[in-house]
Amino acid sequence: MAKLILKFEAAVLKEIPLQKAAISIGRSPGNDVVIDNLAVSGHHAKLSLDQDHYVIEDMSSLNGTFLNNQRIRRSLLKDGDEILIGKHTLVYQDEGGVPAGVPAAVEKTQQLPSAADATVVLDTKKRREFLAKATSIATEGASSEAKEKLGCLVVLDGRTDQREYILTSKLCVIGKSPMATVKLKGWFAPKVAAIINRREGRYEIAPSNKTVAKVNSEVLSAPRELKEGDVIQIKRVKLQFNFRE
Amino acid sequence: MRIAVGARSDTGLVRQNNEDRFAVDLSLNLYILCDGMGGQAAGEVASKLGVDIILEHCRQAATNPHLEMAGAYQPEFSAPTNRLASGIRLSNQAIHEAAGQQASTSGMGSTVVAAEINENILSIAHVGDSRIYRCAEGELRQLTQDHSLVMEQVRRGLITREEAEQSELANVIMRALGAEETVQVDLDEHWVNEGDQILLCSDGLTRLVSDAQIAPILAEPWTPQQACERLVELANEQGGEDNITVVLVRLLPPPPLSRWKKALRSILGGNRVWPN
Repeated sequence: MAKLILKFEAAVLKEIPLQKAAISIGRSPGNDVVIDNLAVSGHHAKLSLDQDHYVIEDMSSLNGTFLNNQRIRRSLLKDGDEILIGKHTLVYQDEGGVPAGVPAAVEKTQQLPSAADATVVLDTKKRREFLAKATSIATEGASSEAKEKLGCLVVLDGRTDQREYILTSKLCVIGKSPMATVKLKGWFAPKVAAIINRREGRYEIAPSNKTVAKVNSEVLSAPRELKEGDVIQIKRVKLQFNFRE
Repeated sequence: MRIAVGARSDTGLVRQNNEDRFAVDLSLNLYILCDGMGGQAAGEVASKLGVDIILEHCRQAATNPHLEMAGAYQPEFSAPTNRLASGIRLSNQAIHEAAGQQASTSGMGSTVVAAEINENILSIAHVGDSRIYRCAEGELRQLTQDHSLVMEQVRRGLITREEAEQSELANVIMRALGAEETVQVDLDEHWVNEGDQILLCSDGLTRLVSDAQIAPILAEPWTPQQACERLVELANEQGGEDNITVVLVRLLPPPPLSRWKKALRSILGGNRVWPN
């Protein structure tokens, strides 16, 4: 009986015996083979039995289906064929075929447990280059879609060194400290009033352990996420947080 | 900021040699830990190269801020963070080249975690499955994400964290110094306060000692060195299967004020923050 071996990089995730005449592959839960990865379309590809052979067919997926490194629409499968979908590989094995056709990567993973205590690095360079090529469409699409919006602080009131700050860096310090991005002026301005952290397009403000910073007139006692329009107040300085394209 | 540091590296109970290596530079507030891999002595060669080159690069940069950076400068990070990345990329090149020269060292590699503290900003950089933790107000948090196959599967939702810990593929890492010509370095920055503790450790600790066991040790009123000794001891009690290395950095509160300053401040009063 033929089977599919689902792999990620060199690791075998699952073996799927082919018991039906048609097997659907995709990200949606209804598929026979579900691959939960954003590079995989809802209904990505399907396998169907044509006489005594399975045929792989791309279901007009966004990122394509690759058979042995070639993008295909529809193709006949033979033992040892590697189907690449997103970043996952499906190896087609037909027991009628020659066992020698087992791809080298599988042998490698089978050997791994024997070297159990030594750390091993995956030799994935070639594979990754190929993956990078194959998924470039996916990443391009994703990056234009999820273009990170930048946070921005507009000074409403008080003495600072600029009228506006665009928060491009990972950490932004508000205070008189020389490390501060938003520099407060005046004799008794706090050295560090608050710290803004950027993580994956979101901004979180945390109080410095000593001073009193307020967000929307509430005293900032624990870290909180900044939302559009929030007003940060440190003594007489007021800053409004906005997102910018 | 005043800092107290402890560190300890141990071969463990199973291995013949120690392939871990660490460095502490108190003048730069720089801490580096590498866990080498590869047959015979190759792992030791790789981790030594890793630590030495990063340390040397950062020391040179301290006297010459215009020292050339290896790799692209990432403007969202501060200069010290970029400097760590640059040092790590250089060490990757060196290990990769050295690995290609001799049969005995071919295939060697190393993980790295590096941390530097400038005022209150903690810069961290890492490649592989060694970790950096931060303990703040009694709460222990892992700041790095392991570049291991199993953790990658956890992040993709393919397996659970429990399955990852049991997996026999736990020793497979996705990135390492020396594996390829170039390496992708993960960077981050955190604001740290007095009283915080930063722990760098190799997987010889974290594979045997859980986060729940680490946290109470850091909470004990011990010196950082005593805490490090205890962590290593605990890993050995639980099997000592791999080399164990820990570096613990504790940020101390400022020294007590002189009587004069105290008096002056109490007269002027107010909830002010004073220059030191």
